[in-house]
Amino acid sequence: MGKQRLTTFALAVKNLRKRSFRTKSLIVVVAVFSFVMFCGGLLTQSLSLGKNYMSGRMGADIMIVPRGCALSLQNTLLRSESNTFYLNENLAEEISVMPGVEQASPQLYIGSLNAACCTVPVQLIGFDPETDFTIKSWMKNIDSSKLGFGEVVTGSRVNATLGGQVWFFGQPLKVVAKLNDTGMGFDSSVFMTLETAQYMIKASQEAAVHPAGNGKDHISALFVRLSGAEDAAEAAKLIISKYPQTDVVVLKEMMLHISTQLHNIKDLAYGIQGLLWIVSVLVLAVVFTVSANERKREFGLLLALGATRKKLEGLLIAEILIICILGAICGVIAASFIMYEFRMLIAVSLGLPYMQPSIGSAIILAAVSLLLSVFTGVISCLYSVIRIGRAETQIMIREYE
Amino acid sequence: MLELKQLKRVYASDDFSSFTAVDNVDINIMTGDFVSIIGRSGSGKSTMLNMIAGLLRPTSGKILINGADLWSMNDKDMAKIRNSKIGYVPQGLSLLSNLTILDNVRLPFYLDKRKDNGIDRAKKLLEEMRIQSLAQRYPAQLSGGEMRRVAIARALVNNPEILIADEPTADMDEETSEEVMKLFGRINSEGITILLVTHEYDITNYGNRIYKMSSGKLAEKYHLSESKTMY
Ligand SMILES: Nc1ncnc2c1ncn2[C@@H]1O[C@H](COP(=O)(O)OP(=O)(O)OP(=O)(O)O)[C@@H](O)[C@H]1O
Ligand SMILES: [Mg+2]
Repeated sequence: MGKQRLTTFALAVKNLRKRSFRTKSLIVVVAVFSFVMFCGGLLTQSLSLGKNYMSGRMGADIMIVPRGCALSLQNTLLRSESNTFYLNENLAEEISVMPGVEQASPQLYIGSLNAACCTVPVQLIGFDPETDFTIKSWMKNIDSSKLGFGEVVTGSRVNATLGGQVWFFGQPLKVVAKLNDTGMGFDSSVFMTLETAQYMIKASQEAAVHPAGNGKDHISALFVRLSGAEDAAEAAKLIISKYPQTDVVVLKEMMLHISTQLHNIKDLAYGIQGLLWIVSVLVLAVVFTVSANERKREFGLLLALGATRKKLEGLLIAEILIICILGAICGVIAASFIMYEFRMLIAVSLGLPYMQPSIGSAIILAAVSLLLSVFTGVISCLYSVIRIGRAETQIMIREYE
Repeated sequence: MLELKQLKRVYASDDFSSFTAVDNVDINIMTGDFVSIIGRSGSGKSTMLNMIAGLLRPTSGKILINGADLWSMNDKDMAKIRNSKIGYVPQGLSLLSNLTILDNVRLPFYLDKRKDNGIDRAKKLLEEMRIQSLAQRYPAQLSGGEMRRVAIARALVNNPEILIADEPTADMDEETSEEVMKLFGRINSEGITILLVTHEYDITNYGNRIYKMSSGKLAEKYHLSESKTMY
């Protein structure tokens, strides 16, 4: 203790320690600032990433669901909302032969009650591996055509072990694979063949969870890919007029809607960040100026003992850098923790595709938040530093004698 | 070694009046001198010392240190002079409250960018001042007299050519104050020039040149050029 040389850094640390209340308060201000910067950045990045990821992989141009179920489909896809609905007719074959339709693949959704495995209700999704072109794109490393009866692929947020079992409606299902993050409702879904899914419906009817559908070959939605030239909106109109008991979701429109929401959220985030930046600069500047004023005597004495004004400025900047770096680190750590712990909740409550960026981009974002905090600190102390550089020394010492 | 030429400082007041605190002072202090200046409160003593210490800009006139004009130097050169040529003991409390006594004393070392951490030198000076036991305390835990002695130790830490002290014995009892004055005598006998300001007459028993300051003007009372027998 006290053996070290009195470098600018050591002196700055001693000063900060002695004024611990002021130091802690300033660290909190910087921490809040970097917290919001990092959260905001991560949020907007995750949303953009989620959106791009989704639009790149959906593959379907339009999705056909029972009349009045368009929103349910969206919520199933985006909010991990658990839904059950049936298309009353076996449309798959009729649609697949319609002109302009390249591929049509049925999916069957069965909403489960809160299952033991998960914090949100799990959606059971039956798909047809032979015609599927949507689910497949999330199963790059899994051969979905080999999915047997009673076997499932679980989403990343379903708490199940590979090779283990998950139970729904009293039926055990074998987990043969796990999906990577999709940033969508798929993360809390369990995928199985149509055959398995239809068996599960029967099980759910026996468990009196879901009403019986009519007909044996239940499906909930038909994902349709059109041949290149076809206009999705036109095709949608045509289908609705032909099958009035259906609703058609056009992916382009859905993505457009998501984009708009995304922009609104981004604008809001930027607005909050900008506002907070101004508030932070003001708060820090006022505190630095007031405290530099109170410390005039101290600075004057340092000058009297032979400090150059440069050294004095260096000392002041060192103190501020320490505060900003500590504050920013606290803020970023708190933000990473919260954003990671609550990523599911955030994604679900926003109802938008949400895909957290890789560790690498998160680190870059953290570094940017840190730099921004340091920059903010330096900006805020400029005024007080300039004032110190100009005041007459003796006057400085006198003022607090 | 220290020469003041027509040194003047005018304080501007809020209204249009102004106040001349130091009025055309001339003095030539030689190396090894022990100069005592007495004067009543408000006579301009501190103002003069602050100008010499490089802390207060003169309105007119010159301060020459070893022939170099102090107030025409740049910030860096002046800081160097303040740091290592001049040891200044300001009037009143002058310790940094954030630092321990030991750190306060060795602070000028750091400001001179020395490699040494200055602890040994600082401890030796604290010992000379008989306050070595206070090294790890903070200024707020010291008495006025103790703080003054710390300030003197600090002024000496860089082996200055001249020691400038503004009422160095102000908070001390007779015995301690005599001890400090004897210390000044010893420092002076080691070749360090001393410029001392006070309003206590008995202190002028020390020193070979005594000046009196009144209303900003300096007048020599007597000058013992050769023998410095007074201490
Ligand atoms: N910053 C200032 N602005 C205006 N007037 C000042 C200023 N500093 C000092 N004075 C005035 O200049 C005069 C001389 O002040 P100075 O501090 O030099 O006196 P002093 O001789 O050191 O007195 P003391 O023995 O009480 O310390 C005083 O009358 C004081 O009011
Ligand atoms: Mg004075």
